[in-house]
Amino acid sequence: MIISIKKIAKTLKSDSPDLLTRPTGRRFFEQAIKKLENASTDETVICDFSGIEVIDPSFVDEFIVKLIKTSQDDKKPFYIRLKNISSVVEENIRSVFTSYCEFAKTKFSVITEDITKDNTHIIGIASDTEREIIEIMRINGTMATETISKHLGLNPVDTAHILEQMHKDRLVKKDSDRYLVV
Amino acid sequence: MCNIKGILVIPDKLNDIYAFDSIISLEKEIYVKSIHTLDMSSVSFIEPYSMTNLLLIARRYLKNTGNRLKLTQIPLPIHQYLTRMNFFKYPVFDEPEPLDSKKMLSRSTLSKRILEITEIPNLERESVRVISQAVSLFRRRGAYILKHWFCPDTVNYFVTVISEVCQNVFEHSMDSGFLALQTYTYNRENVVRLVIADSGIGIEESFSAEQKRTYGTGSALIKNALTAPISGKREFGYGLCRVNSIIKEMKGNLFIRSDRSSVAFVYNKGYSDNAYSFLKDDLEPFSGTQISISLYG
Repeated sequence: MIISIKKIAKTLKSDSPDLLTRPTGRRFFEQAIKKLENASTDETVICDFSGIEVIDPSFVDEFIVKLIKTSQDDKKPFYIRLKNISSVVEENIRSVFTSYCEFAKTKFSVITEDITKDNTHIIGIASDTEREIIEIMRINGTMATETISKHLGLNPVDTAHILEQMHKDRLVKKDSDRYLVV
Repeated sequence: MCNIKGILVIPDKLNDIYAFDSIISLEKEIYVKSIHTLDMSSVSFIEPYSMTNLLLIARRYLKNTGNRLKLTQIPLPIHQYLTRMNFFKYPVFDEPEPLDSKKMLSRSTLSKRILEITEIPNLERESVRVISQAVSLFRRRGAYILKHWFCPDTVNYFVTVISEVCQNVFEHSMDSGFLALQTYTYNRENVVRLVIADSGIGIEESFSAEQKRTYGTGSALIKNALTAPISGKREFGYGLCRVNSIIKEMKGNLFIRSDRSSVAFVYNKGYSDNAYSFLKDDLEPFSGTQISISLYG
C-alpha cells in the first residue's frame, strides 16, 4: 500500500510543501489510519513524501512516531517504509527519534526506500549489526537466520535474538524461519 | 533619562539584543514616574529584537493601565522602518502622525528582505493558520532574506525553526506573541535576525516545581531545554533541541531571554563546544520568552 502524503494534503485542502505543527500532524495521522483500514496484515506501507519539503519535529512526533507505534501493535502488524524524503525531513526525523530514544531508553527507527545521509536505509537508533542486516536483506530480499548469521560471523542464537527484536520493531518481516526485507 | 515630566528619552540602545537590557531596566520607570510618552529622538538604529520587545512593553503598559504609550520625536528613517515593518498595525502605541505616503519605504521586491511583524495568537487553530501563512511568505522571500547564506537547505532549516519556535508561543506561553525577521547590514556585517517574542508565563513557569528544582537556576533550565529532550508539558520535548542543532549547523547565534534569565549560544566564532554558551540569571525581570536567532556573514 502506498500512502501519498501529498494526496492526504489535498484531501485536507493544503497545497503547502511544508507539514508543520502538532495539530496538522494529528489530522494527517487520522487520514492515514483511515487508509490503513484497507491494508492487509503484515503489509508494507510506503509513505511517499514526494512534493514535501519540510516536516517539522512536531509533525514527526504526531504522524511518523505514532504510525510506527501503531505498526508495532500485534493485533494488525504492518511495516513502514518512507519514500522521497528531503534531506531536512530526514534530519528532523532523526532528531526526534534520537530525542525519543534518549527519553525512553529504547531503540526507535524506520526503514527508508532511498539511501540516507549515513549511507544506509534506516533512520534512527540502530546498531551496526542491525544496519548491516538491513543492507544485506535489501540485496537478497529474503534470508534464513542461519545464512544471516554466517554472513555476519555471529552465532545463530545471537543472530536469531537480534532478528526477533528487529521484527518486533518492524524493521524486517518474518515468514516462518525466514526473514524478508520491508 | 526622564527629562520632561511624563516623557522618557529612550537611549540609543535599540541596536543590539544585549543592549536592549538597558531599556528593560527602564521599564519600571514608566510606572514609577507616570511616563506616558517615549522620546525616540536619540535612537539611530533599531533591530528586530528591540522593535518586537518595544511592542511587548507597550502592550503590557496598555494591559496594566488601560492607556497607550505615545512615541514622539521619531527620526524619519526609524519611522519609515517601523511603518514598513507594520509596527503601528498593532494598536498598543498611540500612533504618531502617519508618514506622508511619499516618505514611506517601498514594498517592492527589493525591500522583501523582511518578514513584517506578525502576531502569533495563543489559540491553537488560529496560530496554526498564522504559522502556515508566515512560512509561506518566508518561502516566497527566502532567496532575498538569505541572499548571503543561500544554500538549498537553508530555507528549509529556517522553516523548521520558525514553525517550532512559534508553536512554543501557543503551546507554552499562555499568551500571544510576535514574530519578525529581517536581513540588514550593521557595522559592515550582514545579519539575518529572526525574533519570536511573547510576554507569557516564561520558560521556567511552564515547568513543574520539581523540574525547576532539578535544574536550579532559570538559565540552567533554558540551557537544558536547548540541549536535552525535556518538556514542561509532555513526557519529553525536542523542538528547542532541534532549533539549537540547526543554528549550530548553520553557525549562527541563538539567544533566549525569559523572565530573569538568559542563555546565548554563539556558534559563529569557531571556539570549542564548551565556549559557546553564556548563561545569565538575576537580570531585570521581563515577563515571557524572547528568542533571537541570528546568522552573520
